[in-house]
Amino acid sequence: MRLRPSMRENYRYLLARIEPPVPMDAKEIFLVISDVYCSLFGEIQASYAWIAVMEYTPPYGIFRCRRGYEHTVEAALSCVTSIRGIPSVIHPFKTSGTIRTIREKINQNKVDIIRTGKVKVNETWISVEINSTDRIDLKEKGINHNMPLYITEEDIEDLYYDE
Amino acid sequence: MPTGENNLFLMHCIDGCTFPYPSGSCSVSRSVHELKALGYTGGVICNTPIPELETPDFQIIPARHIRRGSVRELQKDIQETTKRRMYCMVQAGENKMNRTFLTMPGVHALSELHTAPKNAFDRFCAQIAAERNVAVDIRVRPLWELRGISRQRVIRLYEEILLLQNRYEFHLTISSGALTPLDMRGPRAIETILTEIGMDRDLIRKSFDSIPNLMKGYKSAREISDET
Repeated sequence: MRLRPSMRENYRYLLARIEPPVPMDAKEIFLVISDVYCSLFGEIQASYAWIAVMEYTPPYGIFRCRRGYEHTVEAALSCVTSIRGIPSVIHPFKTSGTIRTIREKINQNKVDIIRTGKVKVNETWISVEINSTDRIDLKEKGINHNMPLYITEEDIEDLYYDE
Repeated sequence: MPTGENNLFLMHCIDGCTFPYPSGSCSVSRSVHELKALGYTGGVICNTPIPELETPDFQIIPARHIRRGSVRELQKDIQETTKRRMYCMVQAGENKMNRTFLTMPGVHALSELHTAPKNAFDRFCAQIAAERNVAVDIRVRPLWELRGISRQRVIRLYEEILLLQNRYEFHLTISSGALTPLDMRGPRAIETILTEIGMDRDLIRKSFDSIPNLMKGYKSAREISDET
């Protein structure tokens, strides 16, 4: 049904950071959010909220919803625990009435560059993923659980990046 | 004072409980790094020795989370924690046990009420908590981890706690109980979730800031009526 512009509903746009920043389809994210929203607020509220995933460029996702439902959508985004079976978390951090402001905010934030490498912890070399913001995630298969899996540069003895 | 993109508050914002390695899977420095990035100005680090870290604008609160056990063992653990001047949290148990915990000197907060049996925290417990300046911890992790009836039970329990808080005015603390960085949520996200389950925004902000006052032993302000 085509409506006059003055009769159309207003939208709200939400910007969120998705971790881990794995490339995935926006539809997969939508299905997860829709499921979480339904379990939290029910089918009727979900049908009123008009949730949509506008775009996803790791790690940022832009979500759209009907005006007045942004708080419930934000709550649902925060309750996501896994996407496509991968343990994930969505951190919403900005709400706006225009998508342009959201895009400006993305451009202001620096992009995290993830590099692979090896670190020396407790005199053993382990494969890791190193984030540009000093986060180091241990990724080696069959890793010894006698050490933390999520560390920073303060916890390691030595580091080198893969070519 | 506010840090990170998620912090909307112009006051202290402390995560009431995180479990780094060995209980969890992230190091202390990583926990601090993540909390700071999410917008917290402080964090309670449980059951682990804290290395010397340079953390400007971030308050690290060393704590002991004492699990259920016999009263004698608990007393010993609480005394040890008090000697070290650490923040002391006790896991809630049955109603009688909770009353005992609340009267023990050195206990700062009663936590994990969602794992306690039904009616574990009643109005007598609320009264004791208010009198003895002991906080009740609102663990937010079950709100996103659980589904269906179990989550509904937790929401109902928190509603009852909020009702008692409104009446007796005991302190509340808000904690994530995070074991990994993926269990952590920003103050903004937590505020949204708790608002949806019926918690007042002012109370949420007050609860985020209540731990330093609990450690100092401040009592909440009370209205004194003129009885002349």
